[in-house]
Amino acid sequence: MGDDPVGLLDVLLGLAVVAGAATALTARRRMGAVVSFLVLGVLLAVLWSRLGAPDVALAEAAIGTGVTGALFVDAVTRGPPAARPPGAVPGAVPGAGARAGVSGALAAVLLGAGLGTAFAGAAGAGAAPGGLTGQVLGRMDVAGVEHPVSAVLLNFRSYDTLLEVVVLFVAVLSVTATLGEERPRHPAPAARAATLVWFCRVMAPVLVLVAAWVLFAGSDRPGGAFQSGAVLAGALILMDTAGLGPGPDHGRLLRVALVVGPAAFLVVAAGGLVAEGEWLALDPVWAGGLIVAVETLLALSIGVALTVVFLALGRGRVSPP
Amino acid sequence: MNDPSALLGLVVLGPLALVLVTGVLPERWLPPVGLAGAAGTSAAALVLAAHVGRSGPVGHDLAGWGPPLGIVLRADGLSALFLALTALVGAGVTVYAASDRAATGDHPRFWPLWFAVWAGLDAVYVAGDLFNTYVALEVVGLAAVGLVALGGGPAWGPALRYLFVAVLGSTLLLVAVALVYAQAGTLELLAAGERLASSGWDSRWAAVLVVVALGLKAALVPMHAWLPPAHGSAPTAVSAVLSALVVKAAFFVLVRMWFWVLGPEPVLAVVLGLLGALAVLWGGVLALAQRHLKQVVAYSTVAQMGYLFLLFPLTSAAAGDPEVLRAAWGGTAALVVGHGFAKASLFLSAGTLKSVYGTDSLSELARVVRPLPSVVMGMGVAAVTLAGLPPSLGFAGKWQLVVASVGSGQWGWAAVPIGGGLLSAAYLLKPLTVMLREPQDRARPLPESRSASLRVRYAPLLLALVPLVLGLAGPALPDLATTGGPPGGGP
Amino acid sequence: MTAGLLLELLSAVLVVAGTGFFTVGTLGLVRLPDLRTRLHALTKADNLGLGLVVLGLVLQAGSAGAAAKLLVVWFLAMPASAVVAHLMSRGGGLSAAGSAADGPGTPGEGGSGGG
Repeated sequence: MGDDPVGLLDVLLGLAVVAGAATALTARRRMGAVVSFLVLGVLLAVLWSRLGAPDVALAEAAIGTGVTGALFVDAVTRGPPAARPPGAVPGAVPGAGARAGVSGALAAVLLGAGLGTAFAGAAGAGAAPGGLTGQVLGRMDVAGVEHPVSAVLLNFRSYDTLLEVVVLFVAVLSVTATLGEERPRHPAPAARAATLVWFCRVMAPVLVLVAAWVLFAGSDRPGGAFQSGAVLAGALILMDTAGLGPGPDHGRLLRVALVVGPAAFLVVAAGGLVAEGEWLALDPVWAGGLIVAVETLLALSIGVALTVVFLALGRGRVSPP
Repeated sequence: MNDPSALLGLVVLGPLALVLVTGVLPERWLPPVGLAGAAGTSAAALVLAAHVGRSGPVGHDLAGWGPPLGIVLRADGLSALFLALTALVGAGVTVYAASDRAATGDHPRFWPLWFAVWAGLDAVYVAGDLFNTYVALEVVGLAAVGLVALGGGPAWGPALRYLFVAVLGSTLLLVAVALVYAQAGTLELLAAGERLASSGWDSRWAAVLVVVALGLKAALVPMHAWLPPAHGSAPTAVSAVLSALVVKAAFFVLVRMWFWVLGPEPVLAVVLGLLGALAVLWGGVLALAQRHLKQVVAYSTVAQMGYLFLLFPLTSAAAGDPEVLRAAWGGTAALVVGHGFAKASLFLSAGTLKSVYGTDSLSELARVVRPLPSVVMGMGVAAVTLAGLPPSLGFAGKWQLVVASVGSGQWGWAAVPIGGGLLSAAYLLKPLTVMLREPQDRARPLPESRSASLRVRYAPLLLALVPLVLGLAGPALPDLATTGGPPGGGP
Repeated sequence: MTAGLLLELLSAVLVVAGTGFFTVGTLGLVRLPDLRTRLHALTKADNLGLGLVVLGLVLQAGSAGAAAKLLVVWFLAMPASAVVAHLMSRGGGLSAAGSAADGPGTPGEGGSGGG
């Protein structure tokens, strides 16, 4: 898919993405901006597919649009009402808007020039050195999984994935540190919306099943821990919205679930050092099993992490400083 | 340990394990576990640094895959220098944080976030891969934002601004990495640099992107406005770590990309030098005008970072002269280390004063030398390093920069360390004189004081003494900094 | 006409018809005056429009597994949009009493600002 020449559809898609971003930035109401952001996310997912990166498209749709969208909508409906014109920051210096506009324009120019020279170089140079695709495909027999992207993520360049999981963990830590961790009690059963409860009872198991499928599909087709974790987070967030999700009593359980994924990754890393002399090294015989095990626990941790970020917002209105 | 290359992974994965551990432990276990973890991490980093100093650069192939398919960790002299700095300053700040809960924002989440910053910093220093550098810098930046936000309500605005700056910088860096990868076909640092050099690619735009990205993160003037509010409103231990270590990581990545990957850019080098000079001047003037101690120290960071950017024009104009190159690298290394210790010490002292007296307003801190002589002494000793007086590392660094600028025929740059030293002395003497003299008649009486423990009173002084001692160590630092130096660049 | 060409033609007709429903639904979203009428337009468009598009794609699917997955997408989207529409029209309440932060929808806020 990524090798097709750029066609009319792609140009339209690119323009639509830019239009979506512009709408999100200039919308007069916050909800309008959030919805434009969601639309932008969907368009981006399609764009990634057109570029031949279905794993990224899945991640964009699940995390970028799904979970992040839920966070935005929750923040917009729970936050303090916009008492001042949108865009003004408390305590902002006069003229800050103009300065922001100038720096934004400068950044856009820089990025555009940089990417433009890349295009020009690629068009003029002809054959590029080829990158690493050939190398990856050549080693797939000892990778332990059949999907090249999963092999890169969890075997060849597993250190990067580990650090990225740490980034997610750090984000969760920062959010819970700033917003606090206590969760309010859910409304009593009589007060819950019956339709939503029914929907949750039907859908949540389906979503968990889809999450498991996406996780195991990652071995030989697009999928994997991050996408699976996002679907799992969707299920947990749905449950929370219906009043059936984790409550104040589940703090311990959530914390353990958060830690278990990165911990498993670190254990495998240390095991690699002990067994093979290098951190994160995977013996080809065990590689497949270890990767699946680590991915499963990672998916759990990622799902819980995204949910915890969502739950932290549920503490009620965040009072401005 | 038989294979010291395993230490390369340990200095990153050790703190990462501590992040997980301190994230789930109950609160009263955190200080002792934190201290033990800091001790272990520092020891590993120092052993690694010593090994590199003795035997040259060390490498480690992660996951058993060598480059270009896998990620390689690599520590050379520059890495060793920064690793050792982070280890010692980190240990000092951890001791302080374990002794004074207010220094951590009185929040247990300080500990996992602090170890995440430490892990990220070490990951940046030992990274041998371009994309890995980007991810490690993200870890550092996001954890630092979280730490700033621990300062409570007044810190949220500055933390958010810091987040925007950090993410913008990371995005630009990622685009630059993508450009390099597209041209070089590999993500490994050394190989990419060689391929770029041999292909004769015009790396100007990538260099501009890298400079802007890392200038944002290192608060290079004019992109510095986010730093004073963030460093000033963060909890004490956080400010110390941010000013002493986190901004240096961005400078480290800039040096790596400039000398090892992208290649010489003479015009851009002069621009960087001018911006550095401007930072020294502008940061110093603004520091003079501040009325709160923490703000003085924060603006001082902006000013002191300016000296580091003189490295670029000085090496660019050196034309391969080994003496000039050695002086330029040695001077920069000395200033990095000296500033790291001195700035951490200053922030810890300011934090002690604030927690004991409840204020850091200069007009109210008169005559605190009586009850807290060790703290004021610590501030004085740190000022010696920052102003560049002998025998401190600050003096050694500035002296070597002057030597390099004279030796390369660019006399103009010599004015920056000299003039900057005077400015530093001015803005640091100002609070010190307030603290040493009797309060004016109309001044408010000293607020009720809380007691400060022994460790809290002496940790800043000990940290400040290190650059003085190291200043007597002579050529050890320039030797370390240039072990495994840049291709065609170092002696 | 061969079976393959017939299949492609049928698939194209179905997808275009589905897109037509989506267009009509969007028109309704933009032009109708208040929340409930807009929901009416949207849900009709969503269910049948999506269904037609999915049916058209099923004809092009390479295997029974892929076809089944496409149908699952439709079967999951239908209850989701139905439940959301139901809740929004009832006053946006997530509990029986409705939460304080959400009002009874925001009709008539002006055409271009409506979200």
